[in-house]
Amino acid sequence: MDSVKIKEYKKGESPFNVVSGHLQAVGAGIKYFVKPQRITLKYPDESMSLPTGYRGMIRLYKDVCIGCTLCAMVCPADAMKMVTDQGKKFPTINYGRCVFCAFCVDICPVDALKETGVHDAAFSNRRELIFNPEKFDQDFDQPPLRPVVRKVKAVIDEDKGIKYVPDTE
Amino acid sequence: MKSGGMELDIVPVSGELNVGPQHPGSGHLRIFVKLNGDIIEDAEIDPGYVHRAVEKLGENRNYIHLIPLVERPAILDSVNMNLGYILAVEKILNVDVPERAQYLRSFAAEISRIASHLYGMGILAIFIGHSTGFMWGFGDREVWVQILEALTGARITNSYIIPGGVRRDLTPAIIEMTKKAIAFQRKKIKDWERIFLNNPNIKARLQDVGVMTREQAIEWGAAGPNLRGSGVYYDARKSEPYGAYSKLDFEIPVYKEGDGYARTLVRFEEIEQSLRILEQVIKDIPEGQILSDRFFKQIPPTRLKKWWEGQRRIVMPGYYASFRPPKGEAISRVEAGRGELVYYVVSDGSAKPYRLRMITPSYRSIYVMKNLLKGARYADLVSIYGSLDYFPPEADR
Ligand code: SF4
Ligand code: SF4
Repeated sequence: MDSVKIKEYKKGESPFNVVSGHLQAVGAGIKYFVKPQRITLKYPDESMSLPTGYRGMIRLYKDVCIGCTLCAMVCPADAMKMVTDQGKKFPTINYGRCVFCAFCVDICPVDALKETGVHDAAFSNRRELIFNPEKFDQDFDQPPLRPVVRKVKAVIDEDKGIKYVPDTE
Repeated sequence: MKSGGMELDIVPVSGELNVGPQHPGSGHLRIFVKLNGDIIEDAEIDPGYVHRAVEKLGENRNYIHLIPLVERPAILDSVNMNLGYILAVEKILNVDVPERAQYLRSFAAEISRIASHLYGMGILAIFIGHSTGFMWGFGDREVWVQILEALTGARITNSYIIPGGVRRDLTPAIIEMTKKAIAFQRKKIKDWERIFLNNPNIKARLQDVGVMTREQAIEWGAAGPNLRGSGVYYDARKSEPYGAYSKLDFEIPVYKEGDGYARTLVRFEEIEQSLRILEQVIKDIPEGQILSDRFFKQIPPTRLKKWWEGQRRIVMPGYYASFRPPKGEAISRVEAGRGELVYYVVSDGSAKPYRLRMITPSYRSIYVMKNLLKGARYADLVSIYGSLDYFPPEADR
Protein backbone atom coordinates (compact mmCIF):
# COMPACT_ATOMS: atom_id res chain seq x y z
CA MET A 1 0.00 0.00 0.00
CA ASP A 2 1.23 3.45 -0.87
CA SER A 3 1.76 6.13 1.67
CA VAL A 4 -1.45 8.01 2.25
CA LYS A 5 -1.17 11.68 1.54
CA ILE A 6 -4.12 13.81 2.50
CA LYS A 7 -3.88 17.17 0.83
CA GLU A 8 -5.36 20.52 1.72
CA TYR A 9 -5.92 23.44 -0.54
CA LYS A 10 -5.13 27.02 0.42
CA LYS A 11 -8.09 28.99 1.66
CA GLY A 12 -8.55 32.70 2.22
CA GLU A 13 -7.06 34.63 -0.61
CA SER A 14 -5.58 38.08 -0.47
CA PRO A 15 -7.37 40.74 -2.55
CA PHE A 16 -4.40 40.73 -4.86
CA ASN A 17 -4.87 37.04 -5.59
CA VAL A 18 -8.55 37.56 -6.22
CA VAL A 19 -7.83 40.24 -8.80
CA SER A 20 -5.16 38.17 -10.49
CA GLY A 21 -7.48 35.14 -10.43
CA HIS A 22 -10.14 37.11 -12.27
CA LEU A 23 -7.61 38.45 -14.74
CA GLN A 24 -6.29 34.96 -15.45
CA ALA A 25 -9.78 33.62 -16.04
CA VAL A 26 -10.61 36.46 -18.40
CA GLY A 27 -7.25 36.01 -20.09
CA ALA A 28 -7.92 32.33 -20.69
CA GLY A 29 -11.31 33.28 -22.10
CA ILE A 30 -9.74 35.77 -24.48
CA LYS A 31 -7.19 33.20 -25.60
CA TYR A 32 -9.94 30.85 -26.71
CA PHE A 33 -11.90 33.72 -28.20
CA VAL A 34 -8.99 34.51 -30.49
CA LYS A 35 -8.02 30.89 -31.12
CA PRO A 36 -11.17 28.86 -30.67
CA GLN A 37 -11.13 25.08 -30.34
CA ARG A 38 -14.36 24.68 -32.21
CA ILE A 39 -15.26 21.10 -32.97
CA THR A 40 -18.76 21.54 -34.34
CA LEU A 41 -19.25 19.63 -37.53
CA LYS A 42 -21.39 21.46 -40.05
CA TYR A 43 -23.51 18.51 -40.97
CA PRO A 44 -24.73 17.96 -43.72
CA ASP A 45 -22.28 20.27 -45.46
CA GLU A 46 -19.55 18.29 -43.80
CA SER A 47 -19.89 14.68 -42.94
CA MET A 48 -17.56 12.52 -40.93
CA SER A 49 -16.12 9.29 -42.28
CA LEU A 50 -16.21 6.59 -39.69
CA PRO A 51 -13.18 4.51 -38.78
CA THR A 52 -12.82 0.96 -40.05
CA GLY A 53 -14.48 -1.41 -37.68
CA TYR A 54 -17.12 1.12 -36.74
CA ARG A 55 -20.21 -0.72 -35.59
CA GLY A 56 -22.83 0.78 -37.85
CA MET A 57 -25.69 -0.75 -39.82
CA ILE A 58 -25.34 -4.42 -40.53
CA ARG A 59 -25.75 -6.34 -43.74
CA LEU A 60 -26.34 -9.98 -44.43
CA TYR A 61 -24.80 -12.11 -47.15
CA LYS A 62 -27.69 -14.39 -47.84
CA ASP A 63 -25.74 -16.83 -49.97
CA VAL A 64 -23.19 -17.34 -47.20
CA CYS A 65 -25.63 -17.71 -44.29
CA ILE A 66 -26.17 -21.27 -43.12
CA GLY A 67 -29.18 -20.49 -40.96
CA CYS A 68 -27.56 -21.57 -37.72
CA THR A 69 -29.58 -19.05 -35.62
CA LEU A 70 -26.58 -18.11 -33.47
CA CYS A 71 -26.96 -14.44 -34.35
CA ALA A 72 -30.56 -14.38 -33.21
CA MET A 73 -29.59 -16.20 -30.02
CA VAL A 74 -26.81 -13.81 -29.06
CA CYS A 75 -28.74 -10.65 -29.89
CA PRO A 76 -29.26 -8.82 -26.60
CA ALA A 77 -32.06 -6.65 -27.90
CA ASP A 78 -34.09 -9.31 -29.72
CA ALA A 79 -33.53 -7.27 -32.87
CA MET A 80 -32.54 -10.27 -34.89
CA LYS A 81 -35.18 -12.88 -35.55
CA MET A 82 -35.11 -15.91 -37.77
CA VAL A 83 -37.63 -16.31 -40.59
CA THR A 84 -38.08 -19.09 -43.08
CA ASP A 85 -37.66 -18.05 -46.68
CA GLN A 86 -38.15 -20.72 -49.35
CA GLY A 87 -37.47 -23.45 -46.86
CA LYS A 88 -34.26 -21.87 -45.59
CA LYS A 89 -33.76 -19.98 -42.38
CA PHE A 90 -32.50 -16.42 -42.52
CA PRO A 91 -32.23 -13.62 -39.98
CA THR A 92 -34.21 -10.40 -40.18
CA ILE A 93 -33.19 -7.30 -38.34
CA ASN A 94 -35.33 -4.69 -36.63
CA TYR A 95 -33.39 -1.46 -36.42
CA GLY A 96 -35.96 -0.14 -34.00
CA ARG A 97 -34.50 -2.55 -31.45
CA CYS A 98 -30.88 -2.98 -32.52
CA VAL A 99 -28.31 -1.48 -30.14
CA PHE A 100 -25.37 -1.90 -32.56
CA CYS A 101 -23.35 -4.12 -30.28
CA ALA A 102 -22.21 -6.23 -33.25
CA PHE A 103 -22.35 -9.41 -31.17
CA CYS A 104 -24.16 -10.96 -34.14
CA VAL A 105 -21.33 -10.05 -36.50
CA ASP A 106 -18.78 -11.45 -34.08
CA ILE A 107 -20.58 -14.73 -33.50
CA CYS A 108 -21.61 -15.65 -37.05
CA PRO A 109 -19.46 -18.74 -37.73
CA VAL A 110 -19.33 -18.17 -41.50
CA ASP A 111 -19.02 -14.38 -41.51
CA ALA A 112 -22.34 -13.88 -43.24
CA LEU A 113 -22.88 -10.60 -41.39
CA LYS A 114 -20.85 -7.45 -41.82
CA GLU A 115 -20.68 -4.04 -40.21
CA THR A 116 -21.15 -1.55 -43.00
CA GLY A 117 -19.81 1.46 -41.14
CA VAL A 118 -22.82 3.51 -42.23
CA HIS A 119 -24.89 5.14 -39.56
CA ASP A 120 -26.74 8.01 -41.18
CA ALA A 121 -30.23 6.71 -41.64
CA ALA A 122 -33.71 8.08 -41.45
CA PHE A 123 -36.95 6.19 -41.68
CA SER A 124 -40.40 7.67 -41.96
CA ASN A 125 -42.26 4.62 -40.83
CA ARG A 126 -41.68 2.09 -38.09
CA ARG A 127 -42.28 -0.84 -40.43
CA GLU A 128 -39.38 0.30 -42.59
CA LEU A 129 -37.08 -0.38 -39.67
CA ILE A 130 -37.57 -4.10 -40.11
CA PHE A 131 -35.37 -5.48 -42.85
CA ASN A 132 -36.46 -8.77 -44.34
CA PRO A 133 -33.72 -11.05 -45.69
CA GLU A 134 -34.03 -9.52 -49.19
CA LYS A 135 -33.49 -5.99 -47.97
CA PHE A 136 -30.97 -7.14 -45.40
CA ASP A 137 -28.94 -8.71 -48.19
CA GLN A 138 -27.91 -5.33 -49.60
CA ASP A 139 -25.42 -2.76 -48.48
CA PHE A 140 -27.36 -0.16 -46.63
CA ASP A 141 -26.99 3.14 -48.33
CA GLN A 142 -29.32 6.06 -48.13
CA PRO A 143 -27.96 8.78 -50.35
CA PRO A 144 -28.59 12.09 -48.63
CA LEU A 145 -31.22 14.30 -50.21
CA ARG A 146 -28.67 17.05 -50.41
CA PRO A 147 -25.31 15.76 -51.51
CA VAL A 148 -22.57 16.02 -48.93
CA VAL A 149 -20.15 18.75 -49.85
CA ARG A 150 -17.15 17.66 -47.84
CA LYS A 151 -16.13 14.35 -46.31
CA VAL A 152 -13.94 14.85 -43.29
CA LYS A 153 -12.03 12.66 -40.91
CA ALA A 154 -11.52 13.45 -37.24
CA VAL A 155 -7.91 13.36 -36.12
CA ILE A 156 -6.61 14.06 -32.66
CA ASP A 157 -4.47 17.13 -32.40
CA GLU A 158 -2.23 18.13 -29.52
CA ASP A 159 -3.35 21.73 -29.63
CA LYS A 160 -6.90 21.65 -30.80
CA GLY A 161 -8.16 18.38 -29.43
CA ILE A 162 -10.03 17.33 -32.51
CA LYS A 163 -9.26 18.53 -35.97
CA TYR A 164 -11.20 17.69 -39.09
CA VAL A 165 -9.13 16.98 -42.15
CA PRO A 166 -10.53 16.30 -45.61
CA ASP A 167 -10.93 12.60 -46.17
CA THR A 168 -9.40 11.57 -49.43
CA GLU A 169 -10.07 8.05 -50.48
CA MET B 1 -41.69 48.99 -0.21
CA LYS B 2 -42.23 52.25 1.59
CA SER B 3 -42.92 55.24 -0.54
CA GLY B 4 -39.85 57.23 -1.35
CA GLY B 5 -37.34 55.13 0.56
CA MET B 6 -35.32 52.10 -0.41
CA GLU B 7 -36.35 50.04 2.58
CA LEU B 8 -37.78 46.65 1.88
CA ASP B 9 -40.18 44.79 4.05
CA ILE B 10 -38.82 41.31 4.10
CA VAL B 11 -41.59 38.86 4.63
CA PRO B 12 -40.23 35.56 5.85
CA VAL B 13 -41.51 32.95 3.50
CA SER B 14 -41.46 29.31 4.04
CA GLY B 15 -42.75 26.85 1.58
CA GLU B 16 -42.10 23.89 -0.56
CA LEU B 17 -40.53 23.80 -3.94
CA ASN B 18 -40.17 21.16 -6.59
CA VAL B 19 -36.76 21.41 -8.10
CA GLY B 20 -36.78 19.97 -11.54
CA PRO B 21 -39.60 18.92 -11.36
CA GLN B 22 -38.22 16.17 -13.54
CA HIS B 23 -34.91 17.22 -14.91
CA PRO B 24 -32.94 19.56 -12.70
CA GLY B 25 -29.70 18.97 -14.52
CA SER B 26 -27.77 15.83 -15.20
CA GLY B 27 -30.74 13.53 -15.57
CA HIS B 28 -34.27 12.86 -14.43
CA LEU B 29 -34.82 13.48 -10.76
CA ARG B 30 -37.03 15.52 -8.51
CA ILE B 31 -35.77 17.34 -5.47
CA PHE B 32 -38.49 18.37 -3.11
CA VAL B 33 -37.19 21.12 -0.86
CA LYS B 34 -38.74 22.69 2.22
CA LEU B 35 -37.60 26.26 2.41
CA ASN B 36 -37.47 28.70 5.23
CA GLY B 37 -36.58 31.91 3.51
CA ASP B 38 -33.38 31.13 1.72
CA ILE B 39 -32.46 28.15 3.85
CA ILE B 40 -33.28 24.60 2.92
CA GLU B 41 -34.85 23.02 5.98
CA ASP B 42 -35.34 19.63 4.52
CA ALA B 43 -34.89 17.99 1.17
CA GLU B 44 -36.50 14.90 -0.22
CA ILE B 45 -34.74 13.32 -3.18
CA ASP B 46 -37.15 11.56 -5.47
CA PRO B 47 -35.27 9.26 -7.85
CA GLY B 48 -36.73 6.60 -10.10
CA TYR B 49 -37.72 8.48 -13.25
CA VAL B 50 -35.26 6.47 -15.30
CA HIS B 51 -35.58 3.16 -13.55
CA ARG B 52 -35.15 0.41 -16.14
CA ALA B 53 -35.31 -2.63 -13.93
CA VAL B 54 -31.81 -3.77 -14.81
CA GLU B 55 -31.79 -6.23 -11.93
CA LYS B 56 -35.10 -7.82 -12.83
CA LEU B 57 -34.31 -7.92 -16.54
CA GLY B 58 -31.07 -9.58 -15.57
CA GLU B 59 -32.99 -12.60 -14.35
CA ASN B 60 -34.64 -13.04 -17.72
CA ARG B 61 -31.73 -12.74 -20.13
CA ASN B 62 -28.65 -14.71 -20.94
CA TYR B 63 -25.36 -13.62 -19.44
CA ILE B 64 -24.07 -12.20 -22.70
CA HIS B 65 -27.26 -10.20 -23.25
CA LEU B 66 -26.64 -8.26 -20.09
CA ILE B 67 -23.46 -6.59 -21.29
CA PRO B 68 -25.21 -3.79 -23.20
CA LEU B 69 -27.84 -3.56 -20.48
CA VAL B 70 -25.54 -2.97 -17.51
CA GLU B 71 -23.69 -0.32 -19.49
CA ARG B 72 -26.77 1.75 -20.04
CA PRO B 73 -27.31 3.18 -16.54
CA ALA B 74 -24.06 5.14 -16.66
CA ILE B 75 -23.69 5.43 -20.35
CA LEU B 76 -20.90 7.98 -20.08
CA ASP B 77 -18.85 5.56 -18.00
CA SER B 78 -19.85 2.40 -19.81
CA VAL B 79 -16.50 0.59 -19.75
CA ASN B 80 -16.40 0.51 -15.97
CA MET B 81 -20.00 -0.67 -15.78
CA ASN B 82 -19.23 -3.43 -18.27
CA LEU B 83 -16.02 -4.40 -16.49
CA GLY B 84 -17.59 -4.88 -13.07
CA TYR B 85 -20.25 -7.19 -14.40
CA ILE B 86 -17.76 -9.27 -16.38
CA LEU B 87 -15.46 -9.62 -13.35
CA ALA B 88 -18.30 -11.18 -11.38
CA VAL B 89 -19.26 -13.51 -14.22
CA GLU B 90 -15.62 -14.53 -14.68
CA LYS B 91 -15.36 -15.47 -11.03
CA ILE B 92 -18.24 -17.91 -11.46
CA LEU B 93 -16.86 -19.22 -14.76
CA ASN B 94 -13.42 -19.43 -13.19
CA VAL B 95 -11.48 -18.26 -16.24
CA ASP B 96 -8.07 -16.68 -16.40
CA VAL B 97 -7.73 -13.50 -18.36
CA PRO B 98 -4.51 -13.00 -20.35
CA GLU B 99 -2.21 -10.23 -19.25
CA ARG B 100 -2.64 -8.16 -22.37
CA ALA B 101 -6.40 -8.16 -21.96
CA GLN B 102 -5.98 -7.01 -18.35
CA TYR B 103 -3.95 -4.05 -19.53
CA LEU B 104 -6.49 -3.27 -22.22
CA ARG B 105 -9.26 -3.35 -19.65
CA SER B 106 -7.44 -0.83 -17.51
CA PHE B 107 -6.72 1.24 -20.59
CA ALA B 108 -10.35 1.45 -21.63
CA ALA B 109 -11.52 1.93 -18.04
CA GLU B 110 -9.23 4.90 -17.51
CA ILE B 111 -10.34 6.55 -20.74
CA SER B 112 -13.86 6.05 -19.55
CA ARG B 113 -13.01 7.60 -16.18
CA ILE B 114 -11.48 10.67 -17.81
CA ALA B 115 -14.49 11.09 -20.06
CA SER B 116 -16.83 10.62 -17.12
CA HIS B 117 -15.04 13.20 -14.97
CA LEU B 118 -15.01 15.70 -17.82
CA TYR B 119 -18.72 15.19 -18.20
CA GLY B 120 -19.27 15.68 -14.49
CA MET B 121 -17.16 18.81 -14.40
CA GLY B 122 -19.03 20.19 -17.40
CA ILE B 123 -22.33 19.64 -15.63
CA LEU B 124 -21.03 21.20 -12.42
CA ALA B 125 -19.84 24.21 -14.43
CA ILE B 126 -23.17 24.85 -16.09
CA PHE B 127 -24.96 24.35 -12.77
CA ILE B 128 -23.05 27.21 -11.25
CA GLY B 129 -23.40 29.38 -14.32
CA HIS B 130 -20.05 28.76 -15.99
CA SER B 131 -21.12 27.80 -19.48
CA THR B 132 -17.56 27.82 -20.82
CA GLY B 133 -16.73 24.94 -18.51
CA PHE B 134 -19.73 23.06 -19.81
CA MET B 135 -18.55 23.43 -23.41
CA TRP B 136 -15.01 22.52 -22.48
CA GLY B 137 -16.01 19.46 -20.53
CA PHE B 138 -18.07 18.10 -23.38
CA GLY B 139 -15.56 19.18 -26.02
CA ASP B 140 -12.58 17.57 -24.28
CA ARG B 141 -14.60 14.45 -23.65
CA GLU B 142 -15.07 14.10 -27.38
CA VAL B 143 -11.34 13.46 -27.80
CA TRP B 144 -11.53 10.45 -25.50
CA VAL B 145 -14.73 9.27 -27.07
CA GLN B 146 -12.93 9.24 -30.41
CA ILE B 147 -10.27 6.96 -28.98
CA LEU B 148 -12.89 4.60 -27.61
CA GLU B 149 -14.55 4.65 -31.00
CA ALA B 150 -11.33 3.64 -32.70
CA LEU B 151 -10.69 0.94 -30.11
CA THR B 152 -14.14 -0.56 -29.69
CA GLY B 153 -16.11 0.50 -32.74
CA ALA B 154 -18.70 2.53 -30.85
CA ARG B 155 -18.55 5.93 -29.28
CA ILE B 156 -20.09 5.24 -25.90
CA THR B 157 -22.01 1.99 -26.01
CA ASN B 158 -18.75 0.12 -26.15
CA SER B 159 -19.65 -3.41 -25.01
CA TYR B 160 -15.93 -3.96 -25.16
CA ILE B 161 -15.26 -6.42 -22.37
CA ILE B 162 -16.47 -9.98 -22.69
CA PRO B 163 -15.92 -12.95 -20.38
CA GLY B 164 -12.33 -14.08 -20.80
CA GLY B 165 -10.93 -10.95 -22.36
CA VAL B 166 -11.71 -8.02 -24.58
CA ARG B 167 -13.02 -7.80 -28.13
CA ARG B 168 -10.41 -5.76 -29.95
CA ASP B 169 -6.71 -5.15 -29.71
CA LEU B 170 -4.75 -1.95 -29.44
CA THR B 171 -3.31 -0.80 -32.77
CA PRO B 172 -0.36 1.55 -33.40
CA ALA B 173 -2.82 4.14 -34.73
CA ILE B 174 -4.73 4.14 -31.44
CA ILE B 175 -1.50 4.44 -29.46
CA GLU B 176 -0.60 7.47 -31.57
CA MET B 177 -4.03 9.00 -30.97
CA THR B 178 -3.76 8.40 -27.25
CA LYS B 179 -0.33 10.01 -27.00
CA LYS B 180 -1.64 13.11 -28.71
CA ALA B 181 -4.75 13.14 -26.56
CA ILE B 182 -2.65 12.92 -23.38
CA ALA B 183 -0.55 15.88 -24.48
CA PHE B 184 -3.68 17.82 -25.38
CA GLN B 185 -5.42 17.09 -22.11
CA ARG B 186 -2.41 18.08 -20.01
CA LYS B 187 -2.24 21.44 -21.77
CA LYS B 188 -5.95 21.95 -21.51
CA ILE B 189 -5.99 21.22 -17.79
CA LYS B 190 -3.66 24.19 -17.32
CA ASP B 191 -6.30 26.36 -18.93
CA TRP B 192 -9.02 24.65 -16.93
CA GLU B 193 -7.16 25.78 -13.84
CA ARG B 194 -7.07 29.35 -15.07
CA ILE B 195 -10.64 29.63 -16.17
CA PHE B 196 -12.31 27.32 -13.67
CA LEU B 197 -10.39 26.04 -10.68
CA ASN B 198 -8.55 29.25 -9.79
CA ASN B 199 -11.42 31.46 -10.83
CA PRO B 200 -12.52 33.39 -7.72
CA ASN B 201 -16.17 33.09 -8.75
CA ILE B 202 -15.96 29.32 -8.84
CA LYS B 203 -14.09 29.23 -5.54
CA ALA B 204 -16.80 31.37 -3.97
CA ARG B 205 -19.47 28.99 -5.17
CA LEU B 206 -17.72 25.80 -4.09
CA GLN B 207 -15.51 26.45 -1.09
CA ASP B 208 -17.14 25.73 2.26
CA VAL B 209 -20.30 24.67 0.46
CA GLY B 210 -21.72 21.23 1.12
CA VAL B 211 -19.12 20.35 3.72
CA MET B 212 -19.01 16.69 4.65
CA THR B 213 -16.64 15.66 7.40
CA ARG B 214 -14.66 12.44 7.29
CA GLU B 215 -16.98 10.81 9.83
CA GLN B 216 -20.09 11.91 8.00
CA ALA B 217 -18.75 10.69 4.68
CA ILE B 218 -18.21 7.24 6.16
CA GLU B 219 -21.49 7.20 8.02
CA TRP B 220 -23.55 8.36 5.03
CA GLY B 221 -21.85 5.91 2.72
CA ALA B 222 -20.34 8.36 0.25
CA ALA B 223 -18.41 6.78 -2.61
CA GLY B 224 -15.56 7.57 -4.93
CA PRO B 225 -14.31 11.14 -5.34
CA ASN B 226 -16.92 12.36 -2.86
CA LEU B 227 -15.48 10.11 -0.20
CA ARG B 228 -11.92 11.02 -1.08
CA GLY B 229 -12.79 14.70 -1.03
CA SER B 230 -13.58 14.22 2.65
CA GLY B 231 -10.19 12.82 3.54
CA VAL B 232 -10.86 9.10 3.29
CA TYR B 233 -8.25 7.12 1.42
CA TYR B 234 -10.26 4.49 -0.34
CA ASP B 235 -10.21 3.28 -3.90
CA ALA B 236 -11.21 -0.16 -5.11
CA ARG B 237 -8.33 -0.12 -7.59
CA LYS B 238 -5.94 -0.13 -4.63
CA SER B 239 -7.85 -2.10 -2.03
CA GLU B 240 -8.77 -4.95 -4.34
CA PRO B 241 -6.81 -4.54 -7.58
CA TYR B 242 -8.37 -5.86 -10.76
CA GLY B 243 -7.35 -5.43 -14.38
CA ALA B 244 -3.71 -4.42 -14.49
CA TYR B 245 -3.91 -1.98 -11.60
CA SER B 246 -1.63 -3.94 -9.31
CA LYS B 247 1.16 -3.39 -11.82
CA LEU B 248 0.48 0.24 -12.54
CA ASP B 249 1.83 3.13 -10.57
CA PHE B 250 -0.74 5.76 -9.69
CA GLU B 251 -1.80 7.84 -6.75
CA ILE B 252 -5.15 8.33 -5.14
CA PRO B 253 -5.78 12.04 -4.63
CA VAL B 254 -7.36 12.72 -1.25
CA TYR B 255 -8.41 16.10 0.10
CA LYS B 256 -9.25 16.97 3.65
CA GLU B 257 -11.83 19.75 3.44
CA GLY B 258 -14.88 17.79 2.32
CA ASP B 259 -16.48 20.69 0.48
CA GLY B 260 -17.49 21.02 -3.15
CA TYR B 261 -14.13 22.46 -4.09
CA ALA B 262 -12.22 19.54 -2.59
CA ARG B 263 -14.38 17.09 -4.53
CA THR B 264 -13.72 19.04 -7.72
CA LEU B 265 -9.98 19.04 -7.09
CA VAL B 266 -10.04 15.30 -6.51
CA ARG B 267 -11.69 14.79 -9.90
CA PHE B 268 -9.21 16.97 -11.72
CA GLU B 269 -6.27 15.25 -10.10
CA GLU B 270 -7.75 11.87 -10.93
CA ILE B 271 -7.75 12.87 -14.58
CA GLU B 272 -4.00 13.47 -14.32
CA GLN B 273 -3.52 10.09 -12.62
CA SER B 274 -5.54 8.41 -15.34
CA LEU B 275 -3.34 10.05 -17.97
CA ARG B 276 -0.33 8.61 -16.18
CA ILE B 277 -1.93 5.16 -16.22
CA LEU B 278 -2.58 5.43 -19.94
CA GLU B 279 1.06 6.29 -20.55
CA GLN B 280 2.19 3.29 -18.56
CA VAL B 281 -0.20 0.97 -20.35
CA ILE B 282 1.08 2.13 -23.72
CA LYS B 283 4.64 1.58 -22.58
CA ASP B 284 4.33 -1.67 -20.66
CA ILE B 285 1.57 -3.58 -22.35
CA PRO B 286 2.78 -7.14 -22.91
CA GLU B 287 2.32 -8.98 -26.17
CA GLY B 288 -0.03 -11.87 -26.30
CA GLN B 289 -3.59 -12.93 -26.63
CA ILE B 290 -6.55 -10.86 -25.59
CA LEU B 291 -8.93 -13.73 -24.96
CA SER B 292 -8.61 -16.61 -22.57
CA ASP B 293 -7.29 -19.77 -24.20
CA ARG B 294 -10.37 -21.69 -23.15
CA PHE B 295 -12.55 -19.60 -25.50
CA PHE B 296 -9.87 -18.75 -28.03
CA LYS B 297 -9.48 -22.41 -28.93
CA GLN B 298 -13.16 -22.61 -29.84
CA ILE B 299 -12.96 -20.01 -32.60
CA PRO B 300 -12.95 -21.64 -36.04
CA PRO B 301 -9.43 -21.45 -37.56
CA THR B 302 -10.57 -19.71 -40.75
CA ARG B 303 -12.16 -16.97 -38.71
CA LEU B 304 -9.11 -16.65 -36.48
CA LYS B 305 -7.00 -16.09 -39.54
CA LYS B 306 -9.27 -13.47 -40.96
CA TRP B 307 -10.08 -11.53 -37.81
CA TRP B 308 -7.39 -12.08 -35.21
CA GLU B 309 -4.42 -12.27 -37.52
CA GLY B 310 -5.82 -9.87 -40.07
CA GLN B 311 -7.48 -7.20 -37.98
CA ARG B 312 -6.52 -7.93 -34.38
CA ARG B 313 -10.11 -8.57 -33.52
CA ILE B 314 -11.58 -11.31 -31.45
CA VAL B 315 -14.68 -12.99 -32.75
CA MET B 316 -16.95 -14.96 -30.52
CA PRO B 317 -17.21 -18.70 -30.50
CA GLY B 318 -20.78 -19.98 -30.48
CA TYR B 319 -20.32 -20.78 -26.79
CA TYR B 320 -21.13 -17.19 -25.86
CA ALA B 321 -24.67 -17.24 -27.21
CA SER B 322 -26.04 -19.04 -24.18
CA PHE B 323 -23.32 -20.32 -21.90
CA ARG B 324 -24.21 -21.95 -18.60
CA PRO B 325 -21.81 -21.18 -15.80
CA PRO B 326 -21.60 -23.63 -12.91
CA LYS B 327 -23.70 -23.06 -9.81
CA GLY B 328 -22.23 -20.40 -7.64
CA GLU B 329 -22.18 -16.80 -6.64
CA ALA B 330 -19.69 -14.00 -7.00
CA ILE B 331 -19.26 -10.44 -5.98
CA SER B 332 -17.08 -7.92 -7.76
CA ARG B 333 -15.95 -4.41 -7.01
CA VAL B 334 -14.61 -1.89 -9.44
CA GLU B 335 -13.82 1.76 -9.05
CA ALA B 336 -16.07 3.42 -11.60
CA GLY B 337 -15.82 7.12 -12.37
CA ARG B 338 -18.21 8.06 -9.59
CA GLY B 339 -17.00 5.55 -7.07
CA GLU B 340 -17.16 1.96 -6.05
CA LEU B 341 -19.49 -0.15 -8.14
CA VAL B 342 -20.55 -3.55 -6.82
CA TYR B 343 -22.07 -6.47 -8.66
CA TYR B 344 -23.40 -9.59 -7.06
CA VAL B 345 -24.28 -12.43 -9.39
CA VAL B 346 -25.87 -15.72 -8.41
CA SER B 347 -25.84 -18.57 -10.89
CA ASP B 348 -28.13 -21.57 -10.61
CA GLY B 349 -26.42 -23.36 -13.45
CA SER B 350 -28.79 -22.10 -16.13
CA ALA B 351 -28.04 -19.69 -18.97
CA LYS B 352 -29.56 -16.78 -17.05
CA PRO B 353 -28.43 -15.35 -13.74
CA TYR B 354 -30.62 -16.31 -10.82
CA ARG B 355 -29.99 -12.91 -9.34
CA LEU B 356 -28.08 -9.83 -10.39
CA ARG B 357 -27.47 -7.12 -7.85
CA MET B 358 -25.95 -3.87 -8.93
CA ILE B 359 -24.99 -1.18 -6.45
CA THR B 360 -24.01 1.99 -8.23
CA PRO B 361 -22.02 4.87 -6.73
CA SER B 362 -24.66 7.46 -7.63
CA TYR B 363 -27.22 5.50 -5.66
CA ARG B 364 -25.11 6.07 -2.61
CA SER B 365 -24.99 9.79 -3.30
CA ILE B 366 -28.74 10.17 -2.77
CA TYR B 367 -28.50 10.03 1.00
CA VAL B 368 -25.37 12.16 0.98
CA MET B 369 -27.11 14.82 -1.06
CA LYS B 370 -30.16 14.82 1.19
CA ASN B 371 -28.00 15.39 4.24
CA LEU B 372 -25.80 18.01 2.63
CA LEU B 373 -28.78 20.00 1.41
CA LYS B 374 -30.20 20.34 4.91
CA GLY B 375 -29.29 23.76 6.19
CA ALA B 376 -27.74 24.91 2.95
CA ARG B 377 -28.78 28.02 1.11
CA TYR B 378 -31.17 27.45 -1.74
CA ALA B 379 -28.71 28.93 -4.25
CA ASP B 380 -26.18 26.30 -3.19
CA LEU B 381 -28.44 23.42 -4.13
CA VAL B 382 -27.04 23.28 -7.64
CA SER B 383 -23.50 23.59 -6.43
CA ILE B 384 -23.93 20.68 -4.01
CA TYR B 385 -25.74 18.58 -6.59
CA GLY B 386 -23.08 19.28 -9.21
CA SER B 387 -20.12 18.73 -6.92
CA LEU B 388 -21.42 15.27 -6.02
CA ASP B 389 -21.47 14.38 -9.74
CA TYR B 390 -24.76 12.64 -9.16
CA PHE B 391 -26.07 10.96 -12.28
CA PRO B 392 -29.73 9.92 -11.92
CA PRO B 393 -29.87 7.08 -14.49
CA GLU B 394 -26.95 5.44 -12.72
CA ALA B 395 -28.74 5.63 -9.39
CA ASP B 396 -32.05 4.42 -10.77
CA ARG B 397 -30.61 1.52 -12.78
S1 SF4 C 1 -25.86 -5.46 -33.48
FE1 SF4 C 1 -26.45 -6.34 -31.50
S2 SF4 C 1 -28.54 -5.63 -31.17
FE2 SF4 C 1 -28.10 -5.31 -33.34
S3 SF4 C 1 -28.86 -7.14 -34.34
FE3 SF4 C 1 -26.70 -7.51 -33.89
S4 SF4 C 1 -26.67 -8.53 -31.92
FE4 SF4 C 1 -28.69 -7.61 -32.15
S1 SF4 D 1 -25.12 -16.52 -37.38
FE1 SF4 D 1 -24.56 -16.15 -39.51
S2 SF4 D 1 -24.89 -18.12 -40.50
FE2 SF4 D 1 -25.94 -18.22 -38.54
S3 SF4 D 1 -28.04 -17.58 -39.05
FE3 SF4 D 1 -26.95 -15.74 -38.39
S4 SF4 D 1 -26.20 -14.86 -40.30
FE4 SF4 D 1 -26.76 -16.95 -40.77
